[in-house]
Amino acid sequence: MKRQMIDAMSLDGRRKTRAGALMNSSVDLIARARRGDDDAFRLIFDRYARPVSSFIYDIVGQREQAEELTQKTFVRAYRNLKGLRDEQRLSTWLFGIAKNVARESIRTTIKDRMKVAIDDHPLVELSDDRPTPDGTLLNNELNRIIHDAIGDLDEDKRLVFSLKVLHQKSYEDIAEITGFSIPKVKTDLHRARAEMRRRIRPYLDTSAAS
Amino acid sequence: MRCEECNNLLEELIDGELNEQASRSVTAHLASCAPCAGLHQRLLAEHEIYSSYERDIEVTPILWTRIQERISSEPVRRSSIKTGGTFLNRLFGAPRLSFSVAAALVVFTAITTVATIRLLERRNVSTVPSEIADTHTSDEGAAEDTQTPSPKPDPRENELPSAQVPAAVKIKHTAPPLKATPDQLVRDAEQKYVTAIAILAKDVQKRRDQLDPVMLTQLDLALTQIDRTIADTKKAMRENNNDPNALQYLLAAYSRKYEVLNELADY
Ligand SMILES: [Zn+2]
Repeated sequence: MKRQMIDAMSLDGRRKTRAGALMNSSVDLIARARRGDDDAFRLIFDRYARPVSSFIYDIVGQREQAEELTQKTFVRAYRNLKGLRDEQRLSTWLFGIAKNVARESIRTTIKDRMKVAIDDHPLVELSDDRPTPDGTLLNNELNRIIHDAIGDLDEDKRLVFSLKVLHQKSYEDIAEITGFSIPKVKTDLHRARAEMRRRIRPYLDTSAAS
Repeated sequence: MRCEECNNLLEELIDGELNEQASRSVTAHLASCAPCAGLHQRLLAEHEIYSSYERDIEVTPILWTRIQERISSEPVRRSSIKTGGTFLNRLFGAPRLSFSVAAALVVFTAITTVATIRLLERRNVSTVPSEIADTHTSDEGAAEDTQTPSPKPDPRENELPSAQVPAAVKIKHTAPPLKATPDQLVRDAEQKYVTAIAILAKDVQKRRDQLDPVMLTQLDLALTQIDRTIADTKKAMRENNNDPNALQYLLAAYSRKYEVLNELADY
């Protein structure tokens, strides 16, 4: 036992640093997180929180709601880590959970809205009256238009548009995340692009002319 | 390739979903067909607009804190309570003392350690009551000690570490070493280390974002190993009637844990 103690006493954290570099692959992080290592799960969160939350934002259209649903997504992911079969596809798996969480939330929101019958449009907060420098005015307006247009797509088209155009996922990944067939992914994406095109046309012409 | 065929493949070309052969055919057609090339340009311009799209969101540290709060009650954690990472997280909610207090506690602990060892050497070891064994009936490491009530709770253990600072000073100044029992001194020393370690661990925890993930992994490994040593020494002390050697190792292990954290706090 003494030998073991002495080993522990002389343990040098820095010496092993390089060997540990291999330990932060997705596969390793998942293995550690499955054993209850919160720090490993924290690294997973750090890596994916931003894309996941922006995807959720694309789907639900509201910042506070997106944050809440991101939290829900990662808590659910933690609980279901054992259900992740292919550790190489962590991102796809997380997006799949995010999609479910966002869709569930939309169902609830629709029910609530039917009760209240008020459309408190989420974009009101973006088009505030603060003075804006000329350069960013166009950007803000364009952001608002894109946001609005995405929000007006039907849910399936919104999903594929966000995943492909805004998150650069492959058709195969999109099919896995959404559960759609690849032909449906292509069709929805084509239609989503057409609908979006109509909304951004004025800006498209401007940028094409310049 | 006909224009219609080309048009149908333009989106897939932009999406990078065409195989090499199809991609080459479409590109060849675009080079020789102005209307199709115009359509292609228009699609690219669209994508440029979408890529400039900025969402009004940010990932705040509070988000992780809330997630951690939720998952900290998950069953998966309970089986791995001894890992270093968990140790840090368990200490996350400990009362905050200043960094200098942590250092002062360790200085005091070093004094206590020396006093205890001397005392044990002078006394007949076999007459020392085995209260330490009663206090720590399991092999759990120091991480447990900060929050898990012992079977025979010492009233002091229910107080916050900050409340024990005056008590520590009192022991140091008013209680002559010969009147304090060795196990009291050991427990005091242990408690001071645990408190100091908690302060440092919290410091490190706060700075996690700035630390190299590899370093953090190593920290976790080091702390796990040290916790195992602490558990082993406690066991040895129980089995060997508070063997002074085991005691030395125990306090050295605490000291090492303090050093590892301190090293990281300075990193
Ligand atoms: Zn053509």
